[in-house]
Amino acid sequence: MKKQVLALVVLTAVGFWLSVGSASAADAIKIGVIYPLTGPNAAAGTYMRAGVEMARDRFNAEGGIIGRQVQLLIEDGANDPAQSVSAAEKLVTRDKVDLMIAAWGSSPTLAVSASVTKKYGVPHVVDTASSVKVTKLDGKRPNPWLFRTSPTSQMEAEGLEKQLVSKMGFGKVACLAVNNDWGRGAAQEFGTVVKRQGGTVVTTEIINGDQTDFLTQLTKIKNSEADGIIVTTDLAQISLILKQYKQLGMTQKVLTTGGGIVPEGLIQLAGPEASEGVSIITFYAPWFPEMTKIPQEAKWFVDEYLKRGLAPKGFGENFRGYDGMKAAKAALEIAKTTDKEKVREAFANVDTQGLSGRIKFDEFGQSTPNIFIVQVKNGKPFIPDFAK
Amino acid sequence: MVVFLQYLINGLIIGGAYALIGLGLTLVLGIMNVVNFAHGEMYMLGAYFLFTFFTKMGMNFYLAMLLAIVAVMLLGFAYERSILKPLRTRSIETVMLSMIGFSLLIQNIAMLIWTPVPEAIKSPFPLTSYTLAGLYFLPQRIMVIVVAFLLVILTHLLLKKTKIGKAMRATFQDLEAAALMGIKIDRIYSFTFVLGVGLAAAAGTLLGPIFTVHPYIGNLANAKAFVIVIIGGLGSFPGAITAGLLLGVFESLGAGYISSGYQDAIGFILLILILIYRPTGLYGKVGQTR
Repeated sequence: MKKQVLALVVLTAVGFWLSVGSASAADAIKIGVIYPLTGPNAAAGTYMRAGVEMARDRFNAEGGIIGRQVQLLIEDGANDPAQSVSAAEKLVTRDKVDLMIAAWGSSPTLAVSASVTKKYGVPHVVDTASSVKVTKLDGKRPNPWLFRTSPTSQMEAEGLEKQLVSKMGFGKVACLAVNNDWGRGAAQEFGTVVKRQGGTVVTTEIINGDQTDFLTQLTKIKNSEADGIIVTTDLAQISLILKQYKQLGMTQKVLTTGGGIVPEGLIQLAGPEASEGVSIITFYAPWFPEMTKIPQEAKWFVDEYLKRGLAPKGFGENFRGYDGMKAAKAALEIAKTTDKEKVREAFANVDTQGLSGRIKFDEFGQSTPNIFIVQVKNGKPFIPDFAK
Repeated sequence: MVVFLQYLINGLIIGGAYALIGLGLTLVLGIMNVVNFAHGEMYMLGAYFLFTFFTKMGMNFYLAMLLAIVAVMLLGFAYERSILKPLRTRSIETVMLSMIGFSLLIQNIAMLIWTPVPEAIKSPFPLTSYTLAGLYFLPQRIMVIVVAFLLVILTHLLLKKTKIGKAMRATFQDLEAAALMGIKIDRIYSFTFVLGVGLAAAAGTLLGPIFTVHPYIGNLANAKAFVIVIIGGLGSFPGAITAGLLLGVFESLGAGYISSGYQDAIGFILLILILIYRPTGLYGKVGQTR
């Protein structure tokens, strides 16, 4: 009994100490972040988390935003709509965040947008989701509080309109896409662009998110007349697809979409042999900081990220979180307050440079980042001439 | 025709590994009446231990495989003795809950140790494949099917030819009678559980180098294992093998000729058909309660 009383006293004391601690930080600008930190997408979420934390540390070292320190409240949404919505509810109603960066994938982002940030009126930065529906639904903007720094699948496909068929030789393509809003959407958008440029889509194979064996789909593509394969899924699956592609002795060209893939990751997971010659769509080239408008910051970002002991294969994800934070900072600095309505208005006037290019939002709250092609050549990242 | 044969071969190879996963689950379920929800996690641990011993520490591949399986078996033994044994007289629901808790615990510990980032076990086999009459044979996968079948045959011999196998079968048929005949039930239970998780770990070490390894690979293995056990008939040994191979082949043919989007659905359609037309599974006996 005595022990229990003592435990209670200690707990209460700790509780007081914690609440006092947070009271002193009440002055800080609170940014709520929802990423998948558990589940099959946890790896991506971990890299993204490093991106937002590096931005926070940099901003705070520079004296904060509008003279106030930045506090991050990071929650796990597991890339699941239900879990992301309850995390968002908690961040808005209990933690009273000033701004939100959420929720990685398209499906949880749509859910958080519709049932939390729009309902409560909280500025919402989207840094990953690529479904068109997030910013444009039936030709209208579904959530006036939402601003997106990541490109849509349509923007990715159209960004390659001039090169895909004529320069890269994707005339007869097979699409291999993961079974969700992102995968199906990308297969459709790339198909449209290929057809518009006079090519054909030979077959579209939809794969499950947890699938590990692709021999059947690859055998089908191998025996078709396709000369190129457009793959939309995550790094783990793409590396398996490439290994099995190599084992079947296939020779079709491969293009990966979505921007989350980097040569380092492919080489580590699929091996140098299987990754050779693969074309990768990316929005940020960490190997060539001089290609951005902010080379010094880009260089610092790469060095700092590696210094923190994180894996180079995270370069396809980490910059998104950083750019999301840059967009938030720019808007807060224009608004000069955390008043939500003023911040929302300020987003329309944001014009800054992120790692993935210019951050400037159109009337739908959509920004237009860079779209590059990186190829794996002799085990190293290489930017082909047509993509420069 | 060549394409059909290729699909068939792909299906049989994956099916062999499925059979191995299903076998371990069905043994534990049949003999101990324990629904092992952590079965997939044992598969995951097998793959991760192989990754640690082989890729990280640079041991010999086959030695690393063996050590990985033994390590998982030791963990299984500790769990059986410390948690399952005291719960033996409790209801099946209590045991099930403990298994679910165990599976969550293992998943999260794996995330702490190895991080959620997917890892690749570098395959010791060449990436190129052999061609025979227009068919492709991948060396790594040939190894998988050979080892899987060896393990299945060994398990079969163990059950049929050895004394402990006889005791296991006796326990399966009638627990009380077996105990009255002097069979040490505790020992049989421990042995069965260790064997069951060992088979799951073996499947993990076989498939790990083909696929990537992350803390959630157990979920898919679990889903497949349960489908196999139900299709084959609860606790049925030949049922698990047949169902494993069938599932592999059906998935491969279905994805090849219908649509790859339905690859996983096909297993469950098969499951529903079996539940409607043969509710006790392919080899299950009517009226069997286990």
